[in-house]
Amino acid sequence: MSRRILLVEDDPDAAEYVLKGLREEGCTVDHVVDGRDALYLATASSFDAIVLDRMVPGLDGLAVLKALRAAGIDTPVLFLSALGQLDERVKGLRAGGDDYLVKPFGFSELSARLESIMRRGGAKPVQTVLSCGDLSFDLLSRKVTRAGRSLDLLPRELKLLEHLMRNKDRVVTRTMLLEQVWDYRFDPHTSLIDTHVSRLRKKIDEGFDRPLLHTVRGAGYRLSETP
Amino acid sequence: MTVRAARAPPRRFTPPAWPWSFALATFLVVAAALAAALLLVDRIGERIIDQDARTAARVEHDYLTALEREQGLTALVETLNLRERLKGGGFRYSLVDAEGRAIAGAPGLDPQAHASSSWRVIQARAGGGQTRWRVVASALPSGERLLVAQNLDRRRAFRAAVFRSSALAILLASSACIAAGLALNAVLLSRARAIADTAARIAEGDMQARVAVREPGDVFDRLGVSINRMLAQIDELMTGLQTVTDSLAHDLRTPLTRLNGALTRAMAPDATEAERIAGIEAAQAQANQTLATVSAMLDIARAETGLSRGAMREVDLSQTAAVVAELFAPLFEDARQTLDLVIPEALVLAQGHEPLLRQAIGNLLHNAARHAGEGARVELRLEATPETIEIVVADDGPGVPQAERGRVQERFVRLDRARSTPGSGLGLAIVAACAKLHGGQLRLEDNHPGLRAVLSLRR
Repeated sequence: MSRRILLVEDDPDAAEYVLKGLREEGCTVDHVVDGRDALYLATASSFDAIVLDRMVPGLDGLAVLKALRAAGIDTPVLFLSALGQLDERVKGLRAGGDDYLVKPFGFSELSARLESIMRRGGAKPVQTVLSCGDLSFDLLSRKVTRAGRSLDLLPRELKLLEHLMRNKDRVVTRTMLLEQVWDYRFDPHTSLIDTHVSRLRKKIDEGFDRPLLHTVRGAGYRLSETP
Repeated sequence: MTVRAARAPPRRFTPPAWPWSFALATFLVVAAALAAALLLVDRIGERIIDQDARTAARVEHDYLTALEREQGLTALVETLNLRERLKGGGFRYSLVDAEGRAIAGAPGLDPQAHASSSWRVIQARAGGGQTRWRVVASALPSGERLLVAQNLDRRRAFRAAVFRSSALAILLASSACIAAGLALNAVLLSRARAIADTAARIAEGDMQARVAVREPGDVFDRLGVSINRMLAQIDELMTGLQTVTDSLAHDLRTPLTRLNGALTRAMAPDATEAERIAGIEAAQAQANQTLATVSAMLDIARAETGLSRGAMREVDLSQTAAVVAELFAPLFEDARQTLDLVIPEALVLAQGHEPLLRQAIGNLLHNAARHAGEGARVELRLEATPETIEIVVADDGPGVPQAERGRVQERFVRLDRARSTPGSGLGLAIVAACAKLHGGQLRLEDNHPGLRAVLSLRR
């Protein structure tokens, strides 16, 4: 099923970069450069997600988002913004944005986050057990088993695993993990996330014939039955 | 392209010309107003005096007429002669018979004056020279004519004396005002000039110039204190900027050189596909490090300018510290260090910038893990006092020598033995900036042994 994305970006280079990437992924992309056009299009037809630059001519990105949410349109919105304006990010998320990405960014980061917010948008059945192949995570008892064998995980490993399992089969980047698991919005200047993941991997993959936690080169990690 | 001379020739502060023309104009307006007031007072005074004199003359005239009617002509003549001799009351009198011969009173008054009964001015001879008089005259029932006269020249002289003395008083008072004004002006100008001169010296590049202030001061001293404080802040910022520019150039060159090297390797004609990818990945890692350094600098700049105040809200520090500690736990485990948490329940900071606080705690933990050495004990502790909440990260590692503790808070400062380990040297600068944003401070203390970093936040 082809996804339909609205891209609101006035910088031609950035727009070209995102357009190319999204089209290669098979998405249908409508591109506008003006905030008013964006509001018009977003209210006139339905999209799976909106990639919205914070600073666009006509109507400011934040105003577009507020207008959309006020009109009851809850299409997932991924904000883009130049530089790491932390307060801007807070404002964007408070205004109803689903995620926030700071320029410059890699396309894989954008793609992973888009995928994540589009999935989030759907009605979620209440799950008490998450599973991926023979790995299962009982959210109520906080017990993890693989192939019937009980695994002993630390609380922080449980948190990480839960996030990965909720995003099963999708790429999750290091920054997404930092932000979404630990709410940490800065580069910690170490390979902290890699360390966390490699420890978790040791516990859930070591001693089993098929690895579930994959490293995606240049992007991040993916928990999946298929390599 | 032409480049204009960067610096204008040094200029001393000179008061512009307009205050003098302004002063002159003010002076003229005030002088005109005073003159007009003086004339007005003179006119009104004259009219009142004239009316009084007329009334008094009529009353006198009526009294004398009544005297004659009741006591007879002889009594009147006696009274008039007595009054003439005494020359009291400011009036002169003249009584003539029906033929115009003088019976009593001043002989010199012109008999023609008796022709009018209204209050009018006449020229008459009195005691030699020509004098102007105001007279009121009437015929008595017995045929004689009575005249009461007031000497106008004396009144005029009185009026002129009043006018002169008023003018003199006004002149004296205004001269005193002008002198006081000039003196005050000179004082104000010299105080303002001192401040303006300091500003001019700053503009010429002498950043050390300061306004002289006295204690306890007046409003100019308060202005001077504010300006000095502003200059100190500017100086601090400029020094900071200088250090940052120098160090930034230095610190960005390293990853950029490596990035270049990695790309060169990837582009080598005989490189295999795997080598190319490895080279590009290495280049990306270096680019990421560069970006991280740059964004860390932006974070500091933003925290220092206080722009982030809008995003401040209630922060549960206990929870924040616990989550950050959990995130950094693997670092301590890798270095075989132990991390102990001493965190009371629900310690809440009313106005906090949560993301920045997370980063500050993270940086303190990261520093400890990196520099405390293998096997060290590290403690993350939250302590509350009535005014502050202190976030303490203490280790029992080698510590930082007293002399260097101030320096490590500066941007890009990395002590020599830390040069070999990766890091941007921005960690503690961010913590210090975070402290500043929260109205607190970062203190580095001796932990006997080791380093005790205290991020003190105002509640």
